[in-house]
Amino acid sequence: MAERDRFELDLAAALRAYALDAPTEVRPTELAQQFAAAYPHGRTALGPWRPVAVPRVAWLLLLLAGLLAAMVAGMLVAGSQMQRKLPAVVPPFGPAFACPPGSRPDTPGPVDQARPGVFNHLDLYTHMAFDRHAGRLLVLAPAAGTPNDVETWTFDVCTNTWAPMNPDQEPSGFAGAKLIYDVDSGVTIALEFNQLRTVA
Amino acid sequence: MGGPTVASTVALAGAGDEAAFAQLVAAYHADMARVAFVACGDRGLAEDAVQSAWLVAWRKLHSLRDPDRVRPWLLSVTANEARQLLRRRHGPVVEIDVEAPGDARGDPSTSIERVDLRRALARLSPDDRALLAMRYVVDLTSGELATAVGTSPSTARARLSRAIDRLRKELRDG
Repeated sequence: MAERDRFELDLAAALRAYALDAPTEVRPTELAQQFAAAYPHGRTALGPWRPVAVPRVAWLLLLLAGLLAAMVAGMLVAGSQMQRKLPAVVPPFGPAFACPPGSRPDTPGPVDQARPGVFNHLDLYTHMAFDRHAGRLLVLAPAAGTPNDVETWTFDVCTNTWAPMNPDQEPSGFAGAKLIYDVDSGVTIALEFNQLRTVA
Repeated sequence: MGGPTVASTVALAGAGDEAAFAQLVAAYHADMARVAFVACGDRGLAEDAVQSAWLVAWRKLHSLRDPDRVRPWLLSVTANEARQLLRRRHGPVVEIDVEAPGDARGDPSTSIERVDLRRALARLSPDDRALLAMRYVVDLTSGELATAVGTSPSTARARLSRAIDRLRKELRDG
């Protein structure tokens, strides 16, 4: 502190004199006993142990660790809850198709067998459906040279062989029709605009 | 109290040792009462403020990081309690009592009249009154004063200087 001037010295003396009226009387032991009775220290019962002063950064890390633990616990709790299953939208298909015993579906079919032709862009109109009862693919393909006509073929998935399906009764006017296999009735339906026709 | 004795006493008192706490009360109660009295200007309020300060000390002494600073810490708690009591009373209660001439409590070593001092103190904030008391009544050092008011020593000096200037003006113009 800088050296005090006359006023400061006078002020100090006046303040000290003024403070003589302060209530300085006290009974220290009684006061300590009073506080100890009213507000007992929890640590006293533990003996001489005292908590170590923890730096603020340690408290921060502890808080972050607590938050992380709470998040993990929350995820575990949420993950252990029963999941509500949505009702099935698609009805069950029934038993899956299986090739008969002794068949070799992994063996390639005959190389030179007859098969649907590929007609440039017209293959865009070739459609297929799988007949689960018979284990064959049904193919509706544009007929060669006559785009409005179609050929129907089947492909046996157990022998990997192609066969004409309706060589004499092809569904004329169904070029570009979509094929749909009806699970319940076990038939394949050709759909062309407003016309429906079973093809098997 | 001095040196390692203070630290060990504070440590024991902070842990709930009644005898150690009583030692602290015996050592520092008078200083706390003087600061509270100057801050409040009322004996009853000063008693209440010091009582509250000791209660705070009983509960929080264990959190004091530097036991050697217990004196400015206690005075700081006292000043805070005094300020809060005054706030609850809706303003400073500094009664202007008219003393009889030749009052025995007057101090012949100062030219400042007691009644003038009280009147001038009443125009300061409780914090500034406590600051003056801590510096001139209980003789805190610059460092202790900074600890007590929670600022740097230079800031504490600047605050003290402003308070003195206000008092100087009040007492001269008074």
